[in-house]
Amino acid sequence: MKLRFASALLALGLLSLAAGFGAYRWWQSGVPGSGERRPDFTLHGLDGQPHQLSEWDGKLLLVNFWATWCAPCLKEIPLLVQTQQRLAPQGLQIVGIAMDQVEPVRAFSGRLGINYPLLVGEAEVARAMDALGDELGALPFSVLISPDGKILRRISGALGEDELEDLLGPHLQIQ
Amino acid sequence: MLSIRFALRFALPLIAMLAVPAAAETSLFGKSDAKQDFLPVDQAFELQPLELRHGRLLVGWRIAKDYYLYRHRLKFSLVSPAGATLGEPSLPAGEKHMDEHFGETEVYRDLLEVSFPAPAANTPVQLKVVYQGCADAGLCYPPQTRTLDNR
Repeated sequence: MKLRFASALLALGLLSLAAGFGAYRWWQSGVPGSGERRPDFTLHGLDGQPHQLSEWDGKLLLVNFWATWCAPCLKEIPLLVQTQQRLAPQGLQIVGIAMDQVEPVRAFSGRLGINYPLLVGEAEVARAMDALGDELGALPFSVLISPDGKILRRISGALGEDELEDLLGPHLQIQ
Repeated sequence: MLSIRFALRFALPLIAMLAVPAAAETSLFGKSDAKQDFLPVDQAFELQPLELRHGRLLVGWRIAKDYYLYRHRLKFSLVSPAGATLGEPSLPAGEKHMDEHFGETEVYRDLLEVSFPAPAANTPVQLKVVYQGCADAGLCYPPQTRTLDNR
């Protein structure tokens, strides 16, 4: 009888612990963790039109936050341009999100030959970064999202060629 | 015995269900799964309290190792006393920094101290500062605005 009571108490304790831990996780997670569904948001493009992130569902999406005042961002972009061109047939879509004003972004887009869609904004871009789980508010910040909208990786700082290969390789469609 | 079976069947799987993804989230693929650890902006550029010394206002930053502040991104303006004007800042010589897109700029590392003529003796002062910097490892923080006072 005593054993049964102790076991019941243990089970109750474990259940409470689990419930408490679950509640803690729920309270902690204002933003989705890796493997969780990405939030959706709308930002204006260089074309002046509103675009939702979900517009690119079905593609392996690399969202790259940058700005024209950010030297490492500008250094990283030619690699992203080359990667977009090379890996688009394997399902990759890069989307650049600039924390900036439209005109400098337009000028740099032309100068750098950016071949992927660009969204632009200031406070709203900071909110989008935050929603995607950025903790530093610094640039560049990249988020890899699976075709079904799950967050795969977040990276703060400029990516090198090998890092980008390692990041994208396991998720590309085999041709 | 029923309760042990209950624990094994329900409570433990429930704990595993909640705990395993949470552990993965915070270690292997956590929310900060950055390729390296960067400092939060206020640790990278630690702004010091505003001081009044020998008739001059002093504002300073302790800059973390491998981080730098741009000279041309520094801005200062006086919030109060109202109507007072801020004199020319005295800035130390920085380090030459060459950038492919921005050309030659000047940056500060380790410690930066800027001074101004104090607007008036024994008067509370509020100074607005704007600054922007980066990490050598390839990360830049947006311009930061802070208001300091000497009260």
